[in-house]
Amino acid sequence: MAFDWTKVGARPAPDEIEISVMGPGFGESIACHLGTNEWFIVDSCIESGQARPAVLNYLNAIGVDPATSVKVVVATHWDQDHVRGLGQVIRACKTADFCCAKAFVGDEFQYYIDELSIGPQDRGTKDIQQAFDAVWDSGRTCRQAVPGKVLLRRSLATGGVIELLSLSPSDKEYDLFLQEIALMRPAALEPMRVSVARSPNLASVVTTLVLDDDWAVLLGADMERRPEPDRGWSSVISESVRLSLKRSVVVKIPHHGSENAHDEGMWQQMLEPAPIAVIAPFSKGPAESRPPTATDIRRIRERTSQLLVTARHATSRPPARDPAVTRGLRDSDIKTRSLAKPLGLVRLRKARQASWTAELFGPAYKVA
Amino acid sequence: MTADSPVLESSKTEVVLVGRFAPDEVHPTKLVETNTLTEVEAKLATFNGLLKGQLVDFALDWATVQAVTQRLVFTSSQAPYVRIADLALRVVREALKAPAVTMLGINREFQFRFASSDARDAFGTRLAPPEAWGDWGKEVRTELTPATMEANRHGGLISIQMRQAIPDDREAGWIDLTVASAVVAGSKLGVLIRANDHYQCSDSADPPTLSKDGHEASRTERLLEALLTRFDKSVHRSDAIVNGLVKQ
Amino acid sequence: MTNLVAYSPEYWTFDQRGENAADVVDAWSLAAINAQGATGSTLALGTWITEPSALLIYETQFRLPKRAANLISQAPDALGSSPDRHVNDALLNVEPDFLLRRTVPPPVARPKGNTDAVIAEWQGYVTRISDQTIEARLAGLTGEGVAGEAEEATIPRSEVTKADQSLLAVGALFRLCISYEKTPAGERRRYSTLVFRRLPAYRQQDLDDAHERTRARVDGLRLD
Repeated sequence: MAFDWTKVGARPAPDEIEISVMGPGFGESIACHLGTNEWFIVDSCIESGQARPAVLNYLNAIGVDPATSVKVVVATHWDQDHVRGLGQVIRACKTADFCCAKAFVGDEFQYYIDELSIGPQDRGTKDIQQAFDAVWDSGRTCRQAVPGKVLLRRSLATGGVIELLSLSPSDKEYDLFLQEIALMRPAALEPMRVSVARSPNLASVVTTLVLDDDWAVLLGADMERRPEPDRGWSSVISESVRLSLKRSVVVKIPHHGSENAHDEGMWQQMLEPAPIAVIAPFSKGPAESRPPTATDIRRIRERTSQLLVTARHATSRPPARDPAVTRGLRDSDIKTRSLAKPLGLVRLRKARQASWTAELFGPAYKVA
Repeated sequence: MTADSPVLESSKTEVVLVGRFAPDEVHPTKLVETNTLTEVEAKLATFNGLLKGQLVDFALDWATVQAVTQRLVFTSSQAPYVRIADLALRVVREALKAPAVTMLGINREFQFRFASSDARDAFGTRLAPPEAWGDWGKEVRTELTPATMEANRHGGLISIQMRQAIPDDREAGWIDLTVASAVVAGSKLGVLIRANDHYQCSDSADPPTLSKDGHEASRTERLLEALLTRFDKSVHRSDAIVNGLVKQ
Repeated sequence: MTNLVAYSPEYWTFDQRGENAADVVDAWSLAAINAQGATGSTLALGTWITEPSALLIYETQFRLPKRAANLISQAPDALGSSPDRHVNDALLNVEPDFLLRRTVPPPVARPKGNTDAVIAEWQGYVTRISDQTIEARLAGLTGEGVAGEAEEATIPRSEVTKADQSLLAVGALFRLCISYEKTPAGERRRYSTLVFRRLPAYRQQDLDDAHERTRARVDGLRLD
C-alpha cells in the first residue's frame, strides 16, 4: 500500500527543529528543518511503485516549496539505496547547494560514472549521473565534504547559531575509494557489465547538526567501524574530539543498525547517554542477516531512550503472479525476494526550550 | 481472452540491419577470431547458404544469421530474444572491419490459429468490415461461412497493414503492423502478424561538421545505440500491440 | 582451369581440374568444405542457379567467351531474384575457362518460428558469487506480477550452463526466463532458462568520448 501523505500534517513551526527520516526498507532519506522554513536534505529514496522521491512528496505534503526552502542537499555516498531520485531532488531544490564527498567530484569518479554509461547501467549509476547532470545544468556550487567543514550555518530568529558540519570522509578513506574506483573502471576490450561496488560505504559523509551548546544531532550515514585510527568511526570520533563537538542527543544509526557499524567509541564519545535513535532498515539479502537483525535491535535498544525504526523487514509480499512462474522458479531452486517495501517515516520535532517529540507514519514503529 | 481468441502457435524475433557489409567477415570461423562466437558454437553451426563475397547464412542452436552485402538478419525463436541484439551488436562492432548501418529493424512475427472459421472471420471483419467495400463487400460478407471455407471458396480479408509514423522515441522510422491470412500448423484458420519496428537516422540530427565518412559512422553508431537501448522496449511494445489486437 | 564447388545441405561436391588450383583456392573456404565432408557426386553448372541450395564458387584465372560475358553482366544481382534462363544456357555451354563476374544467390529459406511461450522474463546482474550459489538483482521484464518489479535472487550455481561459466562474474548481466514448450505429444512442459548476455566489449573510442563529456562537466562544476 502506498504511503498516505495526507496523514503527515503541517509543516513545523518557525522555531521548531525537525529531523524526519524516511525509508522504504531499501533506501533512506532525511529532511531537516533548521527553523524559519529553511531545510536541508540528506540522500534520496523512492517508494516502490512511485516515480517521485519520498522527500519531495513529504515537503509537498506539509506545504514546503523545495525550490526556495531547501538550502543544501547532501549525498552521503554513492550506494544505490541513498541516491534514488537524487537528480530530481537537486532539480527541485533550485536554490540549494549540493554537497558530497570530495572523492565524488574528482576526475576518477566522474570518468567512472560516464564510462559505465556506455553500456547497460543499473539504477544507481543512472541516479548518480542524473544528479551530477542536475548540478552542472543548474550551475550551482558543489560543496566538497571533508572533515570539519561547515556545510551550512544559520543564525536563528530565536537566538543562537545552528551549524551543519561534515565529519568525514578521512583522507585515508578518500585514497582507498580512489583505489577501488581505479580497479572497477572499465577497460577497452572488456565486455560491458554493471558496476557492483565492493565497498560502497567508503567515503561516506557523516554529518552533525549542532545548535550552539544546546544540543546536537548525529547523522551516521553508512559509516562503518574500522580498526585503523584514520578510517571509519575512529577518524570521525577523532574529528569530533578535535572540534570539541557537543555530544548528540539524537542519532540516525549508521548503516541500518548493522553490527559492523557499531562502534563503542561513537556511543561513548559522540552521544549523550540514552539518546533517541532512528534506524532505516536495509531489507536486502538473506532474511536472517538483514540489518537491523533482532540482535542489532536489542543491542541498540539497550543504549537508547527511544528506538524508532522506519519500516519492518518482512512487511511486503511479492505481487500476485502466475503460479506457473512461482513453480518454475521453485523447480530450479531459485529463491526470489521482493525489493518492494512500504515507506515509513519517523519525525522528530523540537521547539527551542522543549523536548523532542516523536511521530510515526506508515509502517514506522517504536521498539518496545 | 475469449473463446474466439486465437491460439499463438509460434513466434520469432528478428534484428535486421540494412547498410553495407562484407558477408565473408560474418563466417563463423571469422567470428571466432574476433571472439564474437565461441569455438564450440562455430563448430556446431550448420550452413544454409555460403557464397563467397555475397552470402553467409548459418544456424546456431538458438539463432540464424544471414549476411549479404546490404543486409544482416539475425533471427531467433528462443527466448531470451535479447541475445540476437547482443550478437548483432558484437558482429557489427567487433567482427566487421568497415560496416555502415543505415536502417535498423526490430521485428516480431507471430503465427496464430483460430479455433473456427467464424472466429477468424470475426477477426478479419473487425479489421476490415466488408460493408466498407460497398455492395461488392456485402457480397463478400455473405460468402464468409464455414461451408465456403471447407470448399476452398472462402474470401474476405487477405492482408492489411497499419503504420505509426515516426514514433517519439527515434529520429525517423515507423512501426508497421501487417496482418495476413496464413496456413498455420497445417490449418487454413491461421493468421500471420508481423510487427516491423523500423529505425533510421534523420539528416537534421547529424552533427553539422562531419565529413561524409563521419556522417556514415555517426549514423551507424546512433542506430547501434538504438539497438542496445531500445530492443527490449521494442519487443514488448510489439507484443503488447499484437496482444491488444487479437484479444479484443 | 576450373574450380567449381556446389553444395546443398544434403551433399557436397568438389570438382577440381587443371593446374595451380591450390593457388587460387581460398584456404578459408577449403577448410569449411573439408569440415563438412564431400560425397563425390557432381552438380552440373547450370543447375546451381535454379536449385534452392547455395553455391560456393571460386574465382580463378580464366577467360570468358564474349557471349557468356555479356549475358552474365546483365544478370540480376538482387537476392532471391530469378535469373535469366539464357544465362543458364550460356553457362552450360561455356568453355572450361570462364569468368563469373557476378553471382546470384538463390532465395534463402526463412527460419520457422518456435512454439515455446515465455511467461516470465527478468534481466538480472550478479552481485555476489559463492561456491554453491549466485546472488543477483532482478528487474522483471515480462509476466504478470513480474514486469516492473525489483527483486533479488539466490540462484544455484548449477543453473549456469557450461557454455556460460566463463561469463560468470560480479556485474555480469543475464536473462532468466520461465517458458512453456510443446512436446511432440502436444503436451505443455514448463522450463527455465538462465542465459548470460554476451554484450559488446568496451571500445577505446567510446571510453575516450566518455572522457570528453566528463571533462566538460568536471571543468564546468563549481567547487567549494
